[in-house]
Amino acid sequence: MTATVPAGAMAVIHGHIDAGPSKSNGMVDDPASNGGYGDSQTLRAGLPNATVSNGQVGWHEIVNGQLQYTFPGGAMSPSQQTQMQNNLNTEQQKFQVP
Amino acid sequence: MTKMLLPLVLCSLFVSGCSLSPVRSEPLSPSELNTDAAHYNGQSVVVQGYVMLAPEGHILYESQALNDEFRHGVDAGGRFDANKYEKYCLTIANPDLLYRNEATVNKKMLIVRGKFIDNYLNGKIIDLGACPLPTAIIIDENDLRQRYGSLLTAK
Repeated sequence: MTATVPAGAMAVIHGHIDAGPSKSNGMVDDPASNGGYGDSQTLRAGLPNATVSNGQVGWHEIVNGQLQYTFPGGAMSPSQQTQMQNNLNTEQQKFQVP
Repeated sequence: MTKMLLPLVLCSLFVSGCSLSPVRSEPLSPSELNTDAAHYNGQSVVVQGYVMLAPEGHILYESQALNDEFRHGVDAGGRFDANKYEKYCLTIANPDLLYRNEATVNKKMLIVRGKFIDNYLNGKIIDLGACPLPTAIIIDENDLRQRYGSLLTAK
């Protein structure tokens, strides 16, 4: 997904694929597919990123330098939460000052 | 005649000092481009990489082995240092032709020609499938068809 950021943009929203051969792991992003940023990529431009999956919405944000993902209760399984935490740990490195 | 030949002879002896660039027979790698991005910016280059197409990724990676190593590290979490792998990732800026032929080109080592740019991620675009570094290659699709016509059945 590529888009030019319009003036005054406050956030990005994108959808995950819910069925078929390219089905996503629910709301979980895939930092191994884009070199490490996953869905936190938009935060480089200062824009929170909404993920739509199975009709629910979660948010990648950065607060006081720390990445976080918020989601509705029950929207992610325990294994998906573990993978998301691993992903956030990887992605956080990209926002650290060397 | 001698006066005309002398510069050519000198040029052939000291190629690096002439305006002519030595022709490299081997394709470049993503890491070679990324570590000297300013030098290659705007140039037509030939690069070999492992094609990775996903809903949120359209990249040329250094090799399958390094890509597997990176994915394993990311999935495992812990103290894996993902930043060490940044140089191995090169964004494909125009992946549409490859996506249309994903079934036949994904996860293959391909040689492509294209224009290398060092400012693809310039703060004005969002690309969820782009690599961490701001570099990218704009693939010459005609050249790609010439090289891999049998793989590119979807036009």
